[in-house]
Amino acid sequence: MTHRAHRSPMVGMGVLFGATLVGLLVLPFAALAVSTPLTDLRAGAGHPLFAPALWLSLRTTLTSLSITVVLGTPLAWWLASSRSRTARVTEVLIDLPIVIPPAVVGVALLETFGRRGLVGPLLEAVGITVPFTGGAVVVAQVVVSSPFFVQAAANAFRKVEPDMLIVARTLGASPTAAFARVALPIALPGLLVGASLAWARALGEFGATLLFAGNMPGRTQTMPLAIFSALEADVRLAIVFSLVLAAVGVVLLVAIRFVPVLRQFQGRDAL
Amino acid sequence: MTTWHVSVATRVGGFELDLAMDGDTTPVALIGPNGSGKTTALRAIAGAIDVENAHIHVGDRELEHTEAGIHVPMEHRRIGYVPQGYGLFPHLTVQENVEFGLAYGPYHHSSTDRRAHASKLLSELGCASLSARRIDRLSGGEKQRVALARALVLDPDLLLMDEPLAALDATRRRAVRRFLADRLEAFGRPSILVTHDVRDVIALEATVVALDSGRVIQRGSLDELRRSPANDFIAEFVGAA
Amino acid sequence: MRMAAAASLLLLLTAGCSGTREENERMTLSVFAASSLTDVMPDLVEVFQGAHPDVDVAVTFAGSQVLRFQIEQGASADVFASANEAHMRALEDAGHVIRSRALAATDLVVVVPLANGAAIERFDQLAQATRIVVGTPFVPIGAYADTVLSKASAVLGEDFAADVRDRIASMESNVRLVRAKVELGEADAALVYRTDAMNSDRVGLVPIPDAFNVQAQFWVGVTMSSPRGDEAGRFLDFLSSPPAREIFRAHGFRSAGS
Repeated sequence: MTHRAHRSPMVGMGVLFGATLVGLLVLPFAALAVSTPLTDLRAGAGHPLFAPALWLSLRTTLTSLSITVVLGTPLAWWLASSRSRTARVTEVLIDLPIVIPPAVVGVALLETFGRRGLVGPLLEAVGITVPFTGGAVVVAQVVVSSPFFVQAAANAFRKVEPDMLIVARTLGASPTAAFARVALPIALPGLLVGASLAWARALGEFGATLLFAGNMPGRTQTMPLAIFSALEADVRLAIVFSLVLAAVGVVLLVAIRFVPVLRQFQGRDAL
Repeated sequence: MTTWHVSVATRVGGFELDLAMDGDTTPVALIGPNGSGKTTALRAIAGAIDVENAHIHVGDRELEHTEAGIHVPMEHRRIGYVPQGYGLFPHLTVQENVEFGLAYGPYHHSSTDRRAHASKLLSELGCASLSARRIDRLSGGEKQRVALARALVLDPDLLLMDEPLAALDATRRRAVRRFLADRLEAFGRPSILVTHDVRDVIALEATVVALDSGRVIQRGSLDELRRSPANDFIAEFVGAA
Repeated sequence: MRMAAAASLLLLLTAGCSGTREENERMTLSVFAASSLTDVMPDLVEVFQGAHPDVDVAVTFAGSQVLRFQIEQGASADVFASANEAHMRALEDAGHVIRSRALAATDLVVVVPLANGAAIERFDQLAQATRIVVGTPFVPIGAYADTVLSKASAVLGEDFAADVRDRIASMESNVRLVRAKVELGEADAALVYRTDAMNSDRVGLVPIPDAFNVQAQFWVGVTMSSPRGDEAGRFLDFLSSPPAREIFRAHGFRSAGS
């Protein structure tokens, strides 16, 4: 006769707390989904604000993600491998946009790139205008989302055993080759998680975009801004937009998580 | 008969390393209590850490000579390194791990050459059947052999191994020890192995260099150390035969 | 014995009928006000609270359309002050507002940064601006501005209105955000209420010809769901009283319907 191990009440409480949190996270989306009849979905998708906003959101977040990954990966590698005080200070600085409210970020960006900003006039002199353009949308997204990527990437790089890199070097790999052929592939799952976090944050970015890039359909009105505008016109429209944005976000997140799994099934990359 | 010399004096973190040792093709067993600087010494020889003052040469190649301003970067030292835990690349197969050294920079070979060379080495080490296997599917003994093959693929002038048998269970250790002794004899080049097990020393017929707090406190054959061990650790080490 | 019981019962009943509050209990009126009233409301509230020491007034400012949305979704507001009649009517038709009346009025002006880099001195020079900021179509100031442009195009030509619309760089959700962009120097021109222009010392004012201008009518109403209907009504009445009208005038508003 098997004897069932005694379950402490702490486990039960843990399950209760966890389930509550999961419920809190999932329930709003379920509510969103059930509240929308199919006809509303079709009407919303046909609304003139819808396609431009969706397209703008996808375009800008793709651009900002690329910039984040290209600029952030070497930075994360340096943060992970360097023991200098500069590196530690930089790590704290990188986290700034996370702890500052997005609206404040928006004002700060205006103070930097605006007509009376720190570098705005210099850029204007060479013909570059940033505020109220698609570029401003990208800048705002990069600022608020890249810290998530850099932190996750640095943590992923830290987990690569130093011995593996030493071996790679003794086998003839330059520091760059050791990074690219050993550290990067091993850290890739962590980098992908960081990228998906950054992408999600950029997709949902609102406050800084509103203040710095403005609200102009087709040019700077991303999906979150469109949702806010739609609220003023028709609540059901806003709900449909929200549902679509949530669905897009879920699809992107799942896709990014799937990539490492796919690589396994495709077999090895050639060296 | 190739001779080599290593002297390193440097601070690493709060730890001070100040040692000098030399040898020939006879394997050298580096022993000492935990924290005595054995792994640090290996890393310094490989060139993985910045050293304040060092003189390292293998045969007629100067790898490092601080006073003369010579510092050969890691990828050109022609040193084989097998760290603790073997450090096999988890994202590559056994074959790709062994071919790694022939894929980059100074030792680049065409992919057919690489495959031939690596396969030959794997066969010699009895691992031919493992070539497509992923690293996490290998047993401890298999990992050891693959790590050795990987280190040997470049025909290094010096082989460094950090506790090569520590991760194996007692039964396997005996077999792999014998295998390692045979391979090193066939290798015929200088080698330095960190070990905690006197049976390794016996099997390899190695000269012993004993470290303590970053310094060499005794050097000699096992018999010499048995006769007059310089401290308790060494006495215990040789007595465990 | 029976007399005592009846007496105490009577006492309880009458105590319940004397009102929802006991002596010395304070109550808070929640007022949702269009953001253009940001400067005049505190003065009005101060006078009202002085006359009604047991009532606190808490005001929330936002674009009228945002406040309307919140009331529709069940936000607990007692009084709603809108920058146009349309939002008030919509709430009344849906049964969310029960009493409403016109409050005060103002018209629109163009504001420019003090530096006025685009050198806009007259309304017909509006198209000199590189960047114009307006309200969204659903915030009253946005709708009013659109009317102004339509009226202007009848006289100055369709091209004028089209040119101006081309230069719109952003549509904000309330008039104070619109004004802020000009104060920051990020916009060359914007259309706001006259009262908003007068309330800021960081913008220049360019008048709009009467022929194109619109009367922005502010409305105020009591919400259906308010549990403090009496007090809310008193606040409404106060807003139409002579002292209140004086305060409105001091902030640049005109009387309702003038």
